[in-house]
Amino acid sequence: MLRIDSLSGGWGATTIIDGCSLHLAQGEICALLGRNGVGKTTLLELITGRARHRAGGIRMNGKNLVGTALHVRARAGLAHVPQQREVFPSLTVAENLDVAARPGSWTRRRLLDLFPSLAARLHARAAHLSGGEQQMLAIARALASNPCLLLMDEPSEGLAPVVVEQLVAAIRAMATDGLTILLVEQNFHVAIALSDRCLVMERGRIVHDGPSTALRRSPSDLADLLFQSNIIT
Amino acid sequence: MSGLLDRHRWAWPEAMFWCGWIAVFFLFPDRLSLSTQILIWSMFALSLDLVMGFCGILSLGQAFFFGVGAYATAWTALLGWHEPISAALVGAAVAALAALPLGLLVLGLSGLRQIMATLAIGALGLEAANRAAGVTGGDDGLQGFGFAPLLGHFRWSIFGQTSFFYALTGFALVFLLLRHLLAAPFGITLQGIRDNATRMRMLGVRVGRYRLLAWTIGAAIAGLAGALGAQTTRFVGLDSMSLDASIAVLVMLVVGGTGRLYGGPIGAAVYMIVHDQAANWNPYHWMAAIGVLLILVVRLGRGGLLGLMEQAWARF
Repeated sequence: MLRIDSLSGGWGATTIIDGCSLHLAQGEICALLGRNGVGKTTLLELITGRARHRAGGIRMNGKNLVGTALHVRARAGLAHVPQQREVFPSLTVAENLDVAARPGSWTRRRLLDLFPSLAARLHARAAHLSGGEQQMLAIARALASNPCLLLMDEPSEGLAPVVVEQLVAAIRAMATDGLTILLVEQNFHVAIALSDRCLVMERGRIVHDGPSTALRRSPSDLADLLFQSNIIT
Repeated sequence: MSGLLDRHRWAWPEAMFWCGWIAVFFLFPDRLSLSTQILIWSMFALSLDLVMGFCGILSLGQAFFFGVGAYATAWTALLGWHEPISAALVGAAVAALAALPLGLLVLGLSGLRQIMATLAIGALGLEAANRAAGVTGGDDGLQGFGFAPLLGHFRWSIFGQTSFFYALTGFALVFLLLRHLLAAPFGITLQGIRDNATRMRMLGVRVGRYRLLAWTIGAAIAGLAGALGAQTTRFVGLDSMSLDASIAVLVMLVVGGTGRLYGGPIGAAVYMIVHDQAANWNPYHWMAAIGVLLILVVRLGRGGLLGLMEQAWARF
């Protein structure tokens, strides 16, 4: 579904991702873990096309994404939920969903069923939503484009525990639809609970790739993976 | 007051606005010339609001399109076509045609570079018009043209009734068109682009096409305003495409409130009435009154006079 080969890139003259390779299968939820500054967000932004690509390949459903414009990647089925949410503040909730909408199974009605708190605020401006509601809206907006691959950057950051629970339930519901998700998450419990597979990044490369079930059974292994500096799978 | 700011619903304050314009005709019959100019500049301000307020394109050269529309309409009459509505539409169409290639030049830029590019368009356009005295009349301007009675019936009297209703109808039609456009998916997308163009691209939107279309429609509206100005005054001078005109319409929009549709027309009315009164008081230093007004509005709150009215309404 997504295949990344020896990818290198970063921001401006700085190279942050250095020879990173990974692949995602259709319908898989993959958690991308790592300490702050190892390049998780930059990897997502290289896939979206915002960060500067230097070398390596990115293919989605067999289609080469390297060098293509942002809107071309989006139309190919790529959606991104950014860390800062980036909802359109002057538009209402309904308008935020409508500007992203493309034909597919994720209709506005289905999105509002998935996020009932948005249904109650459909005509409120996004600027007036709480942080949790904005996060729900950012996810719903990404789904409205009916993507085949969803990149999520720390969706639970800054949210109250009760909102995180709603979010986890929503992501589980999305997974049953066969959506492929690459999830960057600082809340390791959430990441491990949600994902089928777990990747750990260190200095711009993937240094661990394995099933999440093993880490669920043995959280100490996860701690070792994240906090040892010389991890080689 | 919130009704003035709602994209999808009409509300009673809007009825007050439009009824106010009808009332002007009966209450100030001796000020119809000023009222007509306010309506024309209101339409011009709408064009800038579409481009800048709703699409986030920073323009200091909007008067170029106003002038192009005015000259094109004047020449339509000079070449023998005197039907006023079609002549005004020719002015709008020529301005839109001029905007297309310039849009390709300007819209790839952002921030200060975009402002400078639009400023350059205005300056170069003015200089070209000055040099092409055979076409524009140079410093003397174009005059000696006239138009047939409106709809074959209403003559252009010196009292200005026909001009007033012609400008009011044109302004109302443009306003309705923009209101409809901005509440439609096209307008919602423009406002999303203004909020965050990169995020819009990441949702699959071809931002450049939307911006070019908004820029061209804005130019057509500015050209139409210029055309109406030429028809109602029977004169087109270089000042119609001057930098002063671009700055004046920007000040009107900022005073009224950007991105609100009613902001431009309200700003135009306030600007021109203050201008008129201050010029009576001192014909050389009227700009000082506009300067004080601008400082007061931007200091007291965001969103211009409409924003201030909104705040006052919320407290009330």
